Amino acid sequence: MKSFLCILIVALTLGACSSPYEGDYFLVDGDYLESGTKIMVIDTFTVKLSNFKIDSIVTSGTDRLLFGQYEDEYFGRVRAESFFQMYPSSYSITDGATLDSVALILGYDKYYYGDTLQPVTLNIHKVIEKVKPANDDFYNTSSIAYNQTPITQVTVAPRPLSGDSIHVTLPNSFGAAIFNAIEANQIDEFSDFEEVFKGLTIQPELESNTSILGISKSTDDTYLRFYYSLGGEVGEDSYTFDLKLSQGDVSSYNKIFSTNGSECLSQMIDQDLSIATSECDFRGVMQSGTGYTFRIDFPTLKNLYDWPVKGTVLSADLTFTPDWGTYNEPFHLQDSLIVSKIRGKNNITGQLDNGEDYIYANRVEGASEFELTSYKVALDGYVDDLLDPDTQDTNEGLTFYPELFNAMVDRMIIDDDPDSEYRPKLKIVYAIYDVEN
Amino acid sequence: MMLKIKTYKLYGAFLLVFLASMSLYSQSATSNGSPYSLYGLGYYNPNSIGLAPSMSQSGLAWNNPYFINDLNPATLSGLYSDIFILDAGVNVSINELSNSGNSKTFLQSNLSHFALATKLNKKSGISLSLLPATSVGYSFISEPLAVEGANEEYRNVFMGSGGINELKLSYGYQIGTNINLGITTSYLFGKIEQSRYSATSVSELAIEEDYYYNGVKLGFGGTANISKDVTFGAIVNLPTKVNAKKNIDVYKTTDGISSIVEDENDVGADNFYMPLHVGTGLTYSLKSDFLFNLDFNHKFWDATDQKDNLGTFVDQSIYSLGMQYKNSNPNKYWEYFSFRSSVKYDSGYLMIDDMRTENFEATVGVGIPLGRNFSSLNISYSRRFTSGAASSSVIQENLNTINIGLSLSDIWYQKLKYK
Repeated sequence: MKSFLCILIVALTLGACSSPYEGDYFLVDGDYLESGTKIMVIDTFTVKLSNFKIDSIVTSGTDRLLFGQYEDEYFGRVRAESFFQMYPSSYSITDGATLDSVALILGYDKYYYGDTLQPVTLNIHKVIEKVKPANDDFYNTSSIAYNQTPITQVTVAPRPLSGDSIHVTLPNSFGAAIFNAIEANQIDEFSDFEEVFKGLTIQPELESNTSILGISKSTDDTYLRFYYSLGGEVGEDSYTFDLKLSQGDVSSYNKIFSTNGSECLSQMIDQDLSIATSECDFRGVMQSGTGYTFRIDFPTLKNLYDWPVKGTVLSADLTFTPDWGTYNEPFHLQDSLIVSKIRGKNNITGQLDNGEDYIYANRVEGASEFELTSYKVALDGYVDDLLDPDTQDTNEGLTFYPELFNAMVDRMIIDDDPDSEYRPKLKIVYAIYDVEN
Repeated sequence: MMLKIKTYKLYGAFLLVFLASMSLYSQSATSNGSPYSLYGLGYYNPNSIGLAPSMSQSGLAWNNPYFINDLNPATLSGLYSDIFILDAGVNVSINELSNSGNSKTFLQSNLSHFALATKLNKKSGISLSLLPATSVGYSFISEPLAVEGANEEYRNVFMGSGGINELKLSYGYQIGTNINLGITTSYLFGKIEQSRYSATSVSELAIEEDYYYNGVKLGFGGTANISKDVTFGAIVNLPTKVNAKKNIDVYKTTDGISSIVEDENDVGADNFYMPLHVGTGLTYSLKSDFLFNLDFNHKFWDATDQKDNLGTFVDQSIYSLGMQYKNSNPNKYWEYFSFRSSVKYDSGYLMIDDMRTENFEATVGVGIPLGRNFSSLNISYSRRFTSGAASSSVIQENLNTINIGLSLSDIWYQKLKYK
């Protein structure tokens, strides 16, 4: 009897250990099961594009000085001026030192926009106000008074990629005032220093159409250098004394603006105002530094509710396409754009995320030479939120700008022509399913 | 005194095995890959206790003294005096599925049943059994389907598992010399998991529903000896409602990020109605070596008015004929062997595309005696064909099943005698 029980237990165990055929499917025709989920693409939602201008952008605290001017086909005269204070590492120079020469070294940070084949003429001025913001920050719109007579004017052939720096020789008369005050031990602290030197501004030549250049604020790349010698004999022993930029604070900023733009741009006098693309040649516009950008709304998305079936959004992709011909050399397109939520009258509320990471609009090259480069944003989570029955706010949209929106002048023109196949489009992959509950 | 202890020990061992098997039940998914297990509560497992598998579930009138006949509770009173039987089995099945497009074979093995029976006194017998009444086990994948409005494709995957277990207590009582009556009551319980997955190249929607069922079933049976050689039997199983509840879990995954669409527990689900089942049968003994069973069963599904997916539940008739040869005066070991063969026609209970899922089954079996008493190892092989041409909706299945059943018996009073 006992052995029988043993056999039995073994048999039962064997029986229970049978493997179900997981992952091994029997192929049936699509119509076999009526209850099958149906997946479809809906891309007929209205995608409303409008333009607006951010009133002011904080331009202090970046790593870049920007200056230059060029005439843009869409934005008119685009101009960047930089304002900055510079600091010595100490307030002492050996007694008896003689100033030999002074130079401003501006190290390229490889950023440029516009035609760099044209020589750039720069005017270096002394500022006559302290480079210190009234509140916490400087904006692209902030102004500081400067001596109208430049210290010097220089014309250079810019080499932002192949060159190291722009070397501007400054007159000794400018340098002597600072140098002598320190050598004579008249300066003990920054407030004394500021009395002699409040900083500089680089003003591009007014009637120029060249390029806008980026200069590194790194102390290794950019500095104001005093060459001096000891013992009165020129050329014997040469020494240097440097003033450098302070990185990441408000002692430097760029003023960036564009003028003489289209009628569409001139209407954007207040951030509250959204200008329909119909008033802008059916184009969305975006320009870093100056604050122009576009906004996208989905006014008909909630209509998805009108369907009498149960469903869910599997994926939602927004695509928008820069106008062909607006980003040829020397212009270019950003790899990705920040996506921010915007409410009501263009009130930017925060960067869009999927719960884990920020979401970006990524540039997608056309699959063939006949297909244009466009930007694509995955919006499945966002669309879910908009469709949430608890979300009553239908006045929410999205806005887009590059990561370094406050430290460059890249611009973009988006196609919103009603007749164009490249109009912004929201493509929703929707699954209709059946569950009784 | 010594005896009493031994008896208790044996009961204890049986009980232990019973409990062990119950726990195995709850863990093992029993299925044979039948596509029709998609419908209702799943595939209705044929009763495989005792000699039922080798006789194509015929034997409503068979008062078998040595084996548990779970088909009719009345037969329990016909058990051999003071007998105690433990019966368990394993099914191994190979199911060949084919439709208009393709075919595939599924191999599956599972515990088929576990049962205990004993004679309570001279006139009555009782049995307790646990068996998978239904089982669900399917996994389909659809042909690629077009995403409407896009140049993309997706597939639907359907998977089901689980089943309904039946814990059954039966009692048979003898009235006079020729009439046996019986009553049986069952507790039905189980979980069926049904999942649907739909996937495009970048996203997936998963719908997982877990159904929980429970219900009570009541049945009656009787047998009457018409002559020395012929017995008549009949059963009635009352219709019953199997209560259902379910948990729903719907979630989607896009670019590797999952989010919940729906998550609800204890949602009411459609209850399932088991039909009225009546059956009658005749058993005829010929020259004491041969025995024939002829049964007819009818299940009144129409009255339950149920539909599921593409299928409608329709009245089901089952005809079965079984025969057994067993030497009534065995001397040598091999003369104790018994041989059975049987055929069955089942009209099926599903109507799909105006076609019944009717099937035909043929079985052969052998009983191998084990030791003294009436213990035996019963092995049977059956092959079942669904008839009707395979179409896009009707899947043809050829089911090959090997059932290995072990029936262990002990006679209390014999032990007493040997002592």
